[in-house]
Amino acid sequence: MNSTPSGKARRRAGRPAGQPSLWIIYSLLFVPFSLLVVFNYVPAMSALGHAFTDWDPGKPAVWTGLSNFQQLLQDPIFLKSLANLAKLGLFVFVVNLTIPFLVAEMIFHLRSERWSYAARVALVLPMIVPGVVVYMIWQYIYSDAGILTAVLEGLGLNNWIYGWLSHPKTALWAVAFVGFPFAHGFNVLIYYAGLANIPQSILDAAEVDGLGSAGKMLRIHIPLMLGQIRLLTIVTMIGVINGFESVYILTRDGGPGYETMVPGLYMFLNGFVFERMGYAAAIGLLLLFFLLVFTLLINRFIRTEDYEPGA
Amino acid sequence: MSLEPSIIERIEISAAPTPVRGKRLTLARAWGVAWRVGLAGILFLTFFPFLFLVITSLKNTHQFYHTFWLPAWPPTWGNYVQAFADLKGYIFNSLLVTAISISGILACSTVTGFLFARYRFPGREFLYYMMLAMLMVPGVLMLIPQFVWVQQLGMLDTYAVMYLPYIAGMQVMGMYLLRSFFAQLDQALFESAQVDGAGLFLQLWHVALPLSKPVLGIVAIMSALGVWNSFLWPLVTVSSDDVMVLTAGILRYNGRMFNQYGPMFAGYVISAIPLLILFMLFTRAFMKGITSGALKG
Repeated sequence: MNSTPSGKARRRAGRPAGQPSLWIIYSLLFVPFSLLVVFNYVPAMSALGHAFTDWDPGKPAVWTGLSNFQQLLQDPIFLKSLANLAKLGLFVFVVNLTIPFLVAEMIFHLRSERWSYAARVALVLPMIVPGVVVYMIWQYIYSDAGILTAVLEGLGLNNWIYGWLSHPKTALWAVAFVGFPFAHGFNVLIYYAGLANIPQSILDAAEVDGLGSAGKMLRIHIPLMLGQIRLLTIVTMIGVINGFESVYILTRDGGPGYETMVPGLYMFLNGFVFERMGYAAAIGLLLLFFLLVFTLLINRFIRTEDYEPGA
Repeated sequence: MSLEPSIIERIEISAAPTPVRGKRLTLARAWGVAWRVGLAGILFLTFFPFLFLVITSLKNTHQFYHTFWLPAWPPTWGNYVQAFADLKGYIFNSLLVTAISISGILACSTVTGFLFARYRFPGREFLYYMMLAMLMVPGVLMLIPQFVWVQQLGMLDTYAVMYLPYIAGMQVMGMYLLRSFFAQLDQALFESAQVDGAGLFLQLWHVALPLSKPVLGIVAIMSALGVWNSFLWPLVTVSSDDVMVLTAGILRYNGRMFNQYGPMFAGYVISAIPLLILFMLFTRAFMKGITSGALKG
C-alpha cells in the first residue's frame, strides 16, 4: 500500500511519500468527527449516566444509584412488557429465520437466472415502503372495514370476526402477524447469498451420494449456512429488542391494558409521555445489556467452522 | 476436458424438471413443482396488501363499499389530487431533508474513507474504531438522550435536527464501505497521479471518485432508504407542519382522514413513489446495497 521511500518527497521520517500534512488530515476529519461526537457520543454517554438518576425534563438530574433498576424489576408493567417481548420474540425468530430460508431455497431451485433475479427483486421491492405506512396498512387490514374481515365474511366465518387489535386475547398475535407471509427481502437475500456460495463440487458430491432435495437442504445447505443463520439471528434479535414502531402505530399505548406493551415502547412512553427520563434511560441500558448478552450467547453457540460463507 | 460422472448426472437431473411426455413424475420433479407453487403463493401474499392498496386508492367511498375486492370504474383520480395537495408540504420537506442528508453522508464518508484507506497518521486506528463502535450502539438507547440533547441545543422543529443526526450516524456505514473499496483499488493509480503532482484533493476527485461510482451509489441509496423511511425521530423532534417530513406527517394525515380510505391510501402510495422511482432506476445497486453492510461485516 505504501510507496517505497523516494528520497525527494520523504520530507518527514516515518511517513510515506506524498502524504499531505497532518494539519490537512486532521482538519478534514474535524467535521465528520464533531458530528459523531455531538450527535452520537454525547447522547450515548448521557444515556449511560442518566440511567442512574432521577431526571425530569427541565430539572437537573439527581443521582439515585441503582434505584431505577430495582424499581424496574418490581414494575409489573415492565415485567409484562418483558413477557410480551419473549412471546413476540420467539414467534418472530421462528418465522423470520425459517420462512426466508425456504423462500431462498425456492428461488435457488429456479433454474433460470432471470426468474431467480426477478423473484429476488420482487421480494426486495416492499422494503422501499416506509415502515409507518406498512403498519398503517396492517392497521387497516385488521379494522372493521378491512381485508381480514372481508375474507372471513367471504368464508362464512362471521363469529371469527372481532377487534383483533383491541381484544386482550388476540392483540399480541395481531401485532406478531404484521408482515405476513414474512418473506422479508433482506433475510431472503442473505440466505440466497449463502446458498449461491456453496461450492458446486460439494453439491455434486451429495448428489452422487444419492441425497435428494430434502436431504441436501438439511445435511448440506443448513450446516454450510450457519454464518448466515447467525447473522440473521443477531439482526432479528436487534430488531425485536429495538423495535416498537409497529406497536406504537397499531395500539399507540401498548393496549388493551398492557397486552401489547414491549420494553421499547415502555421506554418511549416513560421518556416522552410520563416524563421520567432517568427511568427511560435505565430501560434503554437494560435493553442494551440484553442485546450484548444475547449476541455473546449466539456467537458462542452458533459456531462457524473453517468454511466462512459470505465473507 | 473429459466429463466426470457427476457432471453427467447433474445434466440429467437439471433436465428432469422440464415436463417430458412419457416420463414418470419423479420425486425431484414433484419437488420442483412444489417449490414453484410455494414461491408463487408467497409472492402473491406478499404483494396482495400493496395491490389492494393501489386498487382502493382509486375508489371513492361509494365504490369502496360496493366493489370491495375488484378495481372500480371509473378510477377516482381525485383521491391523488387531494392527497398530493394535502401532503405536498411534507413531501417537499422529506425530499429536502433526504437530499441534504445524502450529500452530507457522501461528503463525510468519502473524505474519512479516503483518509483511512490511503494515509497513516497518529490516532488513525483509534479514530477508525471510535467511528465503527457507533455501529454497535442500538438506536433504542439513543432516542431519549439524543432528544434531550437537541432540545438543549435549541434544534427542535428545525430542518437541521432531521439531517445532522442522520449524517452523523449514517456516515459510519458509508465510511466503512468506501474505506474498504478505496483500499482495494490499485494503489499504482494514486502513485502515478502523485508523480504528476496531484495532491490529496485531486487524487480523490479525479482518481478515486470516478472509479467508485457503484459504491457511492450504494451508499446514497442506503442513506435514502434510511432517511426517507425514518419515523420515530421526526415524530418526536418536530411538531410544526412547516418542517415535518412525510412519514410523521402521514400519520397525522391518517388521523385527519378518518375512514376516507380513497385519499388516505392515495397518500400511502404517494409516500412510496420517490423511492420506487429510485429503485427502478438503480435496481442493481439496490440489490447489492441491501446486503452490502451485512455481508462484509
